[in-house]
Amino acid sequence: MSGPAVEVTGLGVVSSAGLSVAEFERAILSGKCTIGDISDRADGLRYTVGAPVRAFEPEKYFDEKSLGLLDRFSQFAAVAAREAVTEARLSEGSTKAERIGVIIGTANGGIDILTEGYLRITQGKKPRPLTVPMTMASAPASRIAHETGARGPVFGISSACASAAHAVVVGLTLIRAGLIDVAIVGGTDSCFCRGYLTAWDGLRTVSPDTCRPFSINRRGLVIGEGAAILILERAGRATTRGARPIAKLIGAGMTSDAGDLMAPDYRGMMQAMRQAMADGGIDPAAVDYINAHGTGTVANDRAEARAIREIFDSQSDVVSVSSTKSMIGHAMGASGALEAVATIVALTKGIIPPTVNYLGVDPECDIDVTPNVARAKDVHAALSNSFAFGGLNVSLAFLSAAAH
Amino acid sequence: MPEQGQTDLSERIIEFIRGEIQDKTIEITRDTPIESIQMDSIDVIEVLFKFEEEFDATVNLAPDSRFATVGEFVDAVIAQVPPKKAARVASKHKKKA
Repeated sequence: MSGPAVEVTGLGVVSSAGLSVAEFERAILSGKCTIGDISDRADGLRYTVGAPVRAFEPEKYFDEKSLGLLDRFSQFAAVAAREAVTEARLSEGSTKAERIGVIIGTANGGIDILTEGYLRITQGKKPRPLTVPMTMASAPASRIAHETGARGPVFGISSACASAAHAVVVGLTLIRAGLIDVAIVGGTDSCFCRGYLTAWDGLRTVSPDTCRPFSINRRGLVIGEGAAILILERAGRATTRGARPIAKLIGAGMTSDAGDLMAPDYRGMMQAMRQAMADGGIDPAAVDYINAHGTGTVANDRAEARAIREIFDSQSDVVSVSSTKSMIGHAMGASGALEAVATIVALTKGIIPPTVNYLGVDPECDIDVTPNVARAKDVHAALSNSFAFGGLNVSLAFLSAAAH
Repeated sequence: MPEQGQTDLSERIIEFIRGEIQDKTIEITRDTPIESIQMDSIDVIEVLFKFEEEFDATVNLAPDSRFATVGEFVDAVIAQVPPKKAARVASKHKKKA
């Protein structure tokens, strides 16, 4: 690690498990599965389950004009950012606007408005006039900058299911490099327009029943959506304005399999986790918890379990693992940020969120996945994994705020 | 002074403008300075889109074009529509009204 230490000083969540960090935390610690029937949107597909953010009412958060400028994925991100910025008390103190960056990951961009636009063309109409700025992958970052006044580096990042995690790493790196003091980072995606659901059907990786990561009889991933935002900043700044460090972001690892587009390679996953620990200056023995990528597909979970086994060796039975996707589905470009929040919940509450829907041990995934019920445990150090199609791997290393 | 058909079109464009700007209560005439109604580039794009949709017209006006008054903007929009078509769309609007 080089450069200043970095703290997480604010969190925000929009998810199928709640529209705030508090609701999200309650849901995941109680093992609440928010995956449900979506046959109203997925009629005729091979699957009819998903985890949309049904409770989100945009008009509660935006005036009419703003609604006309924002695709759903930007709305999610902006609302999550408001919660995170409020917690970090970013408007107080003396942070210079030029020293605040916004880096937001998205796998999809504005697919709702894009899909609607194509539909309108087929009906002989024109797409909405603002379709381009609404659907660009940088739209959420731009909106958050607009709302917060951030005038530093502001851009979107895309790496499929690792988008949010890559955004977190870039924020961390910019702070370490001394280019900014505060990074508003995270990910967002809206995933329930008909075209997108149909496209996933073609990949044959979506489960027809539910999401059972690492379990026997798991049948695939379940599509989710949402956003999560983390405020990262140079350590020691937050307390001067009355905010508090929630956790420390001590390291990150990023690798690429440079191999199969869809079949994951456990070696790339392993290397990302090793890099994150080395960057954070911790040994595998120090890691208490791993928030797994854990999609619920046969291939991902087998590879990830093997990577964990290889690194943690005899300690594999001691390190706790769980997959938040068992409760909220796969929120694509948002997943890395939502799961970073889940990881931080484990650090702050001393409770490991469970892997629900678990039916029994798959011999190829023989690790402690915290089946079905949350477990109390002191967590000082934790990893959060994100592994994307294309073989793009990210692992983030967090430390509790009190740990040294 | 613009002709009657053009006056109808002007009024309709002003209605579109009123629909986009934040302060709906503000009185808008041809002489109203654009600056005073805070019509931004997004509002211009929306107004032009609605005009094109309603009148099946094509307006090639850059959203960053500068106008001092609402009247100047309205005239610039109408000038983009060929005179015969302007007359047709005006009468179409009149029938609707």
